[in-house]
Amino acid sequence: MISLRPCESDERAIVEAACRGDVSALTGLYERYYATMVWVAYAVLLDRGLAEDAAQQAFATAYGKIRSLRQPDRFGPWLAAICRNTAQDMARARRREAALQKRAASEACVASNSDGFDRTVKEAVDALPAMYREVVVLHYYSGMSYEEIESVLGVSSDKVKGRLARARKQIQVHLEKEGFRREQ
Amino acid sequence: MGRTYNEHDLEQALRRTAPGGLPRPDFAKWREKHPEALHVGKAGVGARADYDRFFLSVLRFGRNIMKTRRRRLGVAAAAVVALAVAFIVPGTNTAWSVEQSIAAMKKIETLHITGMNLCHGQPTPFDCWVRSPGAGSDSFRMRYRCGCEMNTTIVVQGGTVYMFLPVENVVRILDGSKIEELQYWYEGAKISPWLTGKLLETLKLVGRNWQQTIETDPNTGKQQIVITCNHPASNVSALLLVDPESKLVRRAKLWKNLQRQGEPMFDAQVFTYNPEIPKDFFEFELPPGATVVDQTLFDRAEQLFHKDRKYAEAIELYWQVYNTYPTLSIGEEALMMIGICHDWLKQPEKAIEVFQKAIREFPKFKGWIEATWFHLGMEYLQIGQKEKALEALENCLATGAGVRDPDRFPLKDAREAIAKIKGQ
Repeated sequence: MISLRPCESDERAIVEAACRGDVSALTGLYERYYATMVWVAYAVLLDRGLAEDAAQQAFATAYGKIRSLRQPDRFGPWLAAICRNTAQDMARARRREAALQKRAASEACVASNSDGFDRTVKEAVDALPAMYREVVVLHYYSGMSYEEIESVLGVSSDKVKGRLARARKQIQVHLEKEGFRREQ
Repeated sequence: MGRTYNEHDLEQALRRTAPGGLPRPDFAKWREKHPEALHVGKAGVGARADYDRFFLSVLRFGRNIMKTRRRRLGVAAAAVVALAVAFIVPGTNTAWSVEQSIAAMKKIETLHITGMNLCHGQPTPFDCWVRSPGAGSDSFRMRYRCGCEMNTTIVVQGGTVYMFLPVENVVRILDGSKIEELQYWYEGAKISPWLTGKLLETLKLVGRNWQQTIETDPNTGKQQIVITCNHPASNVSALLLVDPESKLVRRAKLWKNLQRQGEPMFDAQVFTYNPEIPKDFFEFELPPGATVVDQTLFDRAEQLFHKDRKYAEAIELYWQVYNTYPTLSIGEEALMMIGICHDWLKQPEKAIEVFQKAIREFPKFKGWIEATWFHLGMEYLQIGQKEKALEALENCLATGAGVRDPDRFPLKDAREAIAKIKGQ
């Protein structure tokens, strides 16, 4: 597989090639962004399987519209917006918000440790506003740096840091309610 | 409950609670699930515009019966540009890098390439002149002259393409943005780093197995960078000689095999950079007495045939083209297409009738007669008339000898069909 350097000019060239239907470029973009889009969708759907479906659908939608993308170097944020919308549509259309929460909780249970700390953290994350949950998922689940999140979401790394800080604060509040105290 | 935690505990918990493992992209599977998604843009260039297919298209001379003379010339011209632009990659040593060539290319305003190209399977000299946008004009300009007996000249002025066929004294005016292969040609020209230097990064995606060495040119004694690569999807290999000082290409060759064996199918022998080219050289003047062919109907018919696959409707338009130009090659082409449409409609008798008409009325036009004989033979085969099929296929070989490449369509296919019939 061709290695795709995440630099701006490279990204632009690849997106421009993709606009012309270059399969190598389309493959490259898919491989570069797939995991991230799964997490973007997960932040909305709270279901890993559905998130994968949403990410795949988002690529199909994006590739169908790619020629309308005016700024090829902003492919990531554009794709993330499509993915977010796709995931929201899926969540809305299936009317499964409640079920999703339950399923997410059960997934958390699998991962929980003996004193329930992990499960409580997971519940706190799931309860976050979508905007905060998205950066938490991308940073902690996907392992992306602030700069990488910036390039995908199209917001500054300062904003990413701010959202993460506020998300952590809300998680701490939730943990506090559940009896977990933060060390001073 | 009542447990205390620190920031590290929280971060670890956040990482641990990620559901499932790392999402793993599987493009092939996705592609199977979303085949329509690869038709990028849907209404436009679409998946066919990818460079792999671009190259395949450029190289598929004659194999696809739909390629007309103008298209063959178009893709030949495309090959000139595409070859010149596509086989440049980041250097494998410090002698050369893609950035250096990009910078060099940006300074190029005009370019003249001469060399040899295969036209109807025969090595044929060509001349190609290019003027970049901004170099005295606001659109891409190109003049391509094929040295074949048809002596066809193509002049590109932005999106408009003029094709002059001196043999018929006919001018076809084409919209480069609407004609499939010319679209590639035009797109190829637009993205050429000789002209803009902008999309070299993209072009890197085309080739495989890049190698770079430094050699001494036996003719001049000067050093030159030798770059080779291939494109397995189209069974093509290429060699590029780059000047180590200017970083500009001195020569480019293209072979229809991966080993660069035998005579190249394309050999751009001389690159002249920034030659003085009079401004009006890229203007097209209607030759005295020339007939201007309206392509609109024909293009609509092509659209119906290729994209919409509405063969019955295409037949109607092709007939209109034939009736408008019953003595020109476009009429011959339309007749052959009518036969092919009938073939798609599973109407072999009608197809045979039209192919016979084309052979009867256009016996001397080289380029389609042998293909028409081939299609006629295949139609006879379909209805079980092997003797007539053999006769038509033999005629295909006879009329194509010395005109078409024996190892390509239709001669190769005709030989195979004959062998099959005789072997049964």
